[in-house]
Amino acid sequence: MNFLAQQILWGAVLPALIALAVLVVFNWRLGRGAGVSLHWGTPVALTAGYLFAHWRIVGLPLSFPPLDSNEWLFVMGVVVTLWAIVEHFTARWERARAAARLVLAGAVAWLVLKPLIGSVWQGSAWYFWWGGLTLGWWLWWSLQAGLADRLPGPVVPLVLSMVAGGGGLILLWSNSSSLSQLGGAVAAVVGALVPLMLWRRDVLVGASAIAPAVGLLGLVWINAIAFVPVPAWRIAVLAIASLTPLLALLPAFKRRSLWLSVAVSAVVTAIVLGALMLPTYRAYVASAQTYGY
Amino acid sequence: MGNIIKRWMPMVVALSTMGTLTASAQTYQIDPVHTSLIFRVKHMNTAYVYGRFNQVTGTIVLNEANPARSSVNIEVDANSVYTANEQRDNHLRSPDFFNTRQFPTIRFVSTQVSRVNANTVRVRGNLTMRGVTRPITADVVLTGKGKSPQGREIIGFETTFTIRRSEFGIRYGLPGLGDEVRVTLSVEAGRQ
Repeated sequence: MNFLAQQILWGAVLPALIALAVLVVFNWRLGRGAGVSLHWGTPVALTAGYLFAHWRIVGLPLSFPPLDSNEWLFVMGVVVTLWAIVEHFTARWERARAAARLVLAGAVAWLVLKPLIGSVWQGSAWYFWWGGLTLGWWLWWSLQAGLADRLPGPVVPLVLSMVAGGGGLILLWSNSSSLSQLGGAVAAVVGALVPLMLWRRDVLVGASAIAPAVGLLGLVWINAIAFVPVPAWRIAVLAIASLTPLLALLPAFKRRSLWLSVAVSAVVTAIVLGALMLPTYRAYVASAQTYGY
Repeated sequence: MGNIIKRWMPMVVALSTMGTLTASAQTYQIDPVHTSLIFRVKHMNTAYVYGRFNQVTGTIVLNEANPARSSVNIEVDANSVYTANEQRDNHLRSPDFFNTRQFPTIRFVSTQVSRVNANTVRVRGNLTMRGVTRPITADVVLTGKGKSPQGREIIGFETTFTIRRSEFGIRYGLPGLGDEVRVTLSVEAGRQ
C-alpha cells in the first residue's frame, strides 16, 4: 500500500468505521420522543475514532504533561469526552455549561499556548492571543452546541464534517500535514454521525455528541494559528462557514422540509469553503511545484 | 616567619598547579560561518535527502592534557534549517517536524569526554530536540589546527553519528520518511 493510501486509511477510513461501530452500539436502542438526543456514549464513539487516528498519524504522547503542542490534542480527546458526558447529564443547566466551557477552553488554551510566552508573543501580545483564541473557541463551541441542541437531522454533523475536511486541506497547503490529518480525522468521525442522523432524523444530535468534534477541531485550529502559523482570519472564516445550519432556524426554512435546509446549508458551506480554499491552493502550488512531501 | 612559610607553602604550590591545569584548558568559540551541520534522511525508502542548519553556535573547552576536563556546548537555531526548497524548509519548521515556534533551539551539552587515540575523542552528552533530551555518543576527530587570516588560533573537528528522530518525538511520516537520521558536524572554532 502506498504512503498516501495508508495515511487515508489510518487517518480517515478506519477512524470513521470505529466511530460508526461504537455509535451503533450506543444508539441502537435509542428512545423516541420530542427532545431526545443521542446517547451519552456518542462522544466516546467519536473520540475512539479520533484517538486511533492520532495514534497512527503522530503517535502516542511521549510524556504527561505533553511536551508538544500536537500531543495536547490526544489529551484533549480524553478530557473533552469526559466533559461531553457531563454535558449530556447537565443539559438543563445551559448557562452553567456555557460558563464551564469557557473555563475549560481557557485552561486548555493556556496549557497549549504557554510555551510561546516571551518567545513568539511578548508581554501583552500573549494575553491578547490567549484571550482572543479562548473567546473565539468558546463562542464557536457555544453556537455549535446551541445548534446541536435545537436541530434534528444530519445538518449539524454534515456541515461540521465539511468544514473540518476543508480546513484540513487548507492546513495541508499551509505546511502542516499532521494537523491537516488530525483535522481530517475529526471530519471522518463527525461524518460518521451523518448516516446515524439520517436513520434517526427524529432525534437531536445534542451538545454532548458534538463536543468532541468542536473541542478537538477548535484545538487543531488554535495549534495551526499558534504553531504553523496559519493566518487567524482563515480559521475565522472556517468557523463562520460551520454556522450555516443557522439558516435552518430561519422562519422561511422552518416551515419547509428538513432536506431543503440541509441542502442550502451544505451548498452555502461548500461555496465559502471553495472561496477560501482556492487561493490557498493556488499559493501553495505557486510556491511548491517541486515539493510533494 | 619560617612558620608562616611552612604553613602557606603547600597552598601556594597547590594554587600554582591549579593555575597550570587551568591554563591548559582553552576555550574556543564556534565560528558559525565555517561550521557545517548537515543531515540526511531517506525519502520513501528510496534516496537520501540532505539538509543543513545554517546557524550553529557554542563553545568548546579543550584540555589536551586531560581530555576528561574538556566540554562541548552547542546550540542550533532550528529555524535555520535549509534543504534548498523553501516549501520543505517551512514544512520542517512546522509541528510535523521541529515545531520551531515551540522549540526554536536544538542543544547539545557534553557530559563526558574521553580520548580514543591521538586525534579522536569520544564525546558523550545530552541532545535536546523538540523538548526531548536523549543521551548520544559521538567519536569526534580533530581535523586540524591553524590560524585564521586575522591571526586567531583556530581548531577543527568533525563527527558523524546517527539518531532516530522518533526518539525525539518527530514521528510524522514514518515509515515513508526514514526514522534514522545521519548527522555530520564539522566545526571550526576560534580561541577566545
